[in-house]
Amino acid sequence: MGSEWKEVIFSEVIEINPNRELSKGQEYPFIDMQAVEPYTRKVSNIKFRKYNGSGSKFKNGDTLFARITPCLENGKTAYVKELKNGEKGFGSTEFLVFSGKEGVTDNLFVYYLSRSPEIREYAVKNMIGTSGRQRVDKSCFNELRIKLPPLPEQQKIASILSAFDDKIELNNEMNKTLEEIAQAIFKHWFIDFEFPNENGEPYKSSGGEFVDSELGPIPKGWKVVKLREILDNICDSVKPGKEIEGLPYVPIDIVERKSIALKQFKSWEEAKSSLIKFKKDDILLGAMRVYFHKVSIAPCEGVTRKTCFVLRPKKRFDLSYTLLLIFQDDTIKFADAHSKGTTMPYAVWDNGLAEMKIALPTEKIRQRFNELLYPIISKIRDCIFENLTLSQLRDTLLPKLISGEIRVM
Amino acid sequence: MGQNNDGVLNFASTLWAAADRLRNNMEPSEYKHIVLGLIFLKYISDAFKFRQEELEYLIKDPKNEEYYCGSEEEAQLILEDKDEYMAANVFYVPPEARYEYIMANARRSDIGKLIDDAMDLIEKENPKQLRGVLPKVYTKAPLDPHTLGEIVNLIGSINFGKNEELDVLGRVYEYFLSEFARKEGKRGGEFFTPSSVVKLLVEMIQPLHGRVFDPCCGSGGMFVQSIRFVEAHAGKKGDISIYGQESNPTTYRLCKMNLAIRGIEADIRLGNSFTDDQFKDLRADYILANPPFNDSAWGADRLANDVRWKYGLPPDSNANYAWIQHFIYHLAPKGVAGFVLANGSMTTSNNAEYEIRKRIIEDNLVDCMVALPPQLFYTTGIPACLWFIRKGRETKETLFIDARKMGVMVDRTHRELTDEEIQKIAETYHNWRNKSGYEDLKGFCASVPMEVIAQNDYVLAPGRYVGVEDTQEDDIPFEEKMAELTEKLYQQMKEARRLDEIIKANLEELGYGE
Repeated sequence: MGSEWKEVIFSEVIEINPNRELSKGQEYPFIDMQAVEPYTRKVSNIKFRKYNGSGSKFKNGDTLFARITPCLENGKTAYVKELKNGEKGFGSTEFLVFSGKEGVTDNLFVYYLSRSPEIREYAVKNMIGTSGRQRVDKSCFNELRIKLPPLPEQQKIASILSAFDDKIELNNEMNKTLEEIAQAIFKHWFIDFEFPNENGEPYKSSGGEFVDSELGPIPKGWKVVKLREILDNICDSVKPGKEIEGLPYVPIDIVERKSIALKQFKSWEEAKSSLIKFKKDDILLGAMRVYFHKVSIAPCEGVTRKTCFVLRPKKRFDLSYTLLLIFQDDTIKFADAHSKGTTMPYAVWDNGLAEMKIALPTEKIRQRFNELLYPIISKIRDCIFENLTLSQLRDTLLPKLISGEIRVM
Repeated sequence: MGQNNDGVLNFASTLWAAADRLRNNMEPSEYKHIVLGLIFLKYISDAFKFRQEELEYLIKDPKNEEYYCGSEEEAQLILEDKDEYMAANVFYVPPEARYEYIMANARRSDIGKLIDDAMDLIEKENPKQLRGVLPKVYTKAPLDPHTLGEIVNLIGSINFGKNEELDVLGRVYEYFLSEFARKEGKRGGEFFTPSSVVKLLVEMIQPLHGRVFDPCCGSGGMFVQSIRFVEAHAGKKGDISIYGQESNPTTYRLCKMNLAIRGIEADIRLGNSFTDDQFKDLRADYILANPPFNDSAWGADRLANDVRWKYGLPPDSNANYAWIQHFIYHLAPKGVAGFVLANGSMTTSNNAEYEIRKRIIEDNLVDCMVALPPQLFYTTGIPACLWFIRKGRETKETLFIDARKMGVMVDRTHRELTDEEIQKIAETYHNWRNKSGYEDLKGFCASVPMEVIAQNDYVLAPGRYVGVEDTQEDDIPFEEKMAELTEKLYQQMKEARRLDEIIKANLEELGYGE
């Protein structure tokens, strides 16, 4: 069974800002503070930039630990693993870089250790500097005592926690693939007119008949209609407090850009004013600065604010079709062109987006489309729920495993 | 070519950075003359030196009957014979004007005067090309002799040996010109058209034989590019003759130096093209120009009855249509003019301008219009367009090209057209002209009959005719894309199952089995 945990000084077992030599004037992968999201292991966006001698320096296996307020409190801590073999990178000066010491500490364990409440709270308490620019200095880790398990146990702990993050990252990637598949099929069917005909062959390529319309030639049987004929803008106002207790709150700022999958939710207690309710399978469209292209499917009942449209298809089977239709660039462009206000333009529904003309496929085809696509959309939604559960499990286990309260060896 | 090109630019930018550090508190506009003057001096000294070495070689070659001579005295005479240099298209440089002499004295406190005297000597030796052209500002310049000496040494360090590489100095000169234009911002643009725009104009009108004219020639960029084009197409410099006019005296001098460096013979004259047309009788085969955008108070009142305003008197508030008619007036019967104007020129509804545009279109002169992307110019971020006017056209259609989406950002505020983009635009135009392989391409180009232009109120903006690009086609066909995506998805699903197993096993191990 496991050998003993030792009490050690943090800075003696973990290298802080280790030496990673870069040449001035050359381009390297660059990670800024924005690319690191709260409590997310993976860096979302690595750019390239010329190194001018300043910034944090790192390589694969290093932990980036935001040291400035409020990023530190928000839990911006990332693990670098996207660089090419042997490549080095640099980033914001507001990262501390942690790295395991060979034979003493495991890199991934260091990452999860630095995410533990114990370390975070210590760092927050030891911030110095004027308010608003407070940051933690690396020297404070010279006084931090931690309990360190033997190396094999560190690796075991890291692998347990890591499996959760691996799955979360995979789910996000899978969602991206699913979305692309849904987009590709939508375009193939309704923009290239290659939806399956009676014999299951692509309509246009198989010589399907077209008739003239005000939107140009459209397949026979299709109709030109306005958006309001198939979608309602639901404005179900609701008061904060008891009425919405327990419902997830989805304000516009947490709706993802250009992705139908929501990634985060807020608590009903944060919902304050101009609230409206949505139901499962409603379409959320960020109406304020509509050009940010925020279109999401509601995974369950919840609350948003009036800065979002809550759109509901008149016919249930139109969900997949209308969701992807709203997601089209052209729809967003139309909504943008019919926005009001200059500095903070809002899309309008009545006499605005609702009047957009579309070529509506026959009911049969829309139904068939939904049969095929709804499982994909549901899968995307399920992945998101799974991610919520996984992260809750991870965050529950993390402090117990890191402190040795639960032993794995 | 690419490699070499980059090499020169890298080296030039280092040199620029070094030179710029020595600028102290001088305005770039003032400093410009100091540096460009020295590059010029270095250039003609090097050219002279190479010719001298060549002569020395010939003199010692016993097989060369023309030059071989036994006596030292005779040899010296040949080496200092001015005609021997002129014959090789090289300026004769007197001993005290040679760069090595200047450099040897770079630490003297009267270095400024030495350089001014050198400039004077060179002008006196070559009055035809250079009289009154070279900058004699070195004595008066607000630079201490030590700094000036450092600049002299810095420029002296450009050393590229052989004759054929002399163009390196030419390129350095050009690079410095463009950097000064950038530094000077608004004012610098007066004498500099960005090279990608000049290249495009030249590739479009292909000046191979005949008279090339630029009545607002700035520092002569159009001519340098034209000569390059001729040489790239196996022609000789002499295949085209060059005429230019420039109203700003300092820019005029820059131009003379720029052309002298490249050994380009040209008839460049000083004066205002509207009020003091220096080439009244010239009818050019090619006109290339980038007149100042939307210039006002150009003298309409004094010139109301001028013969050039065949299509109507342009308003004094805007010179665009005065330039257009100036160009048309100076075109030979089959000549072509390509020029840059501000976008407003394509659509203006000012009564006088609208009438002129209508008549020019009805006279079947407008061959092609190109809308350029924004931020190409140092002077201004506003978008510009290219006009191509051709006399003696056979077709009654006009080609419209919309290049507004082209170009790549070279820094935060400036864009450039790439060589491939320039090729694409020029090729479209030539295919259209040759009626081979041309097709309208939605969002990019359209060939439009005169009647349709008339229906569109004689508006010449390409955007009006080329239409909007089809909704963004991703190039991967549906089948291929789906195959790729589903393969990815199945892998992800497999990985998901594996991870699920691991997570489950881990949790079971911790005592939380299903």
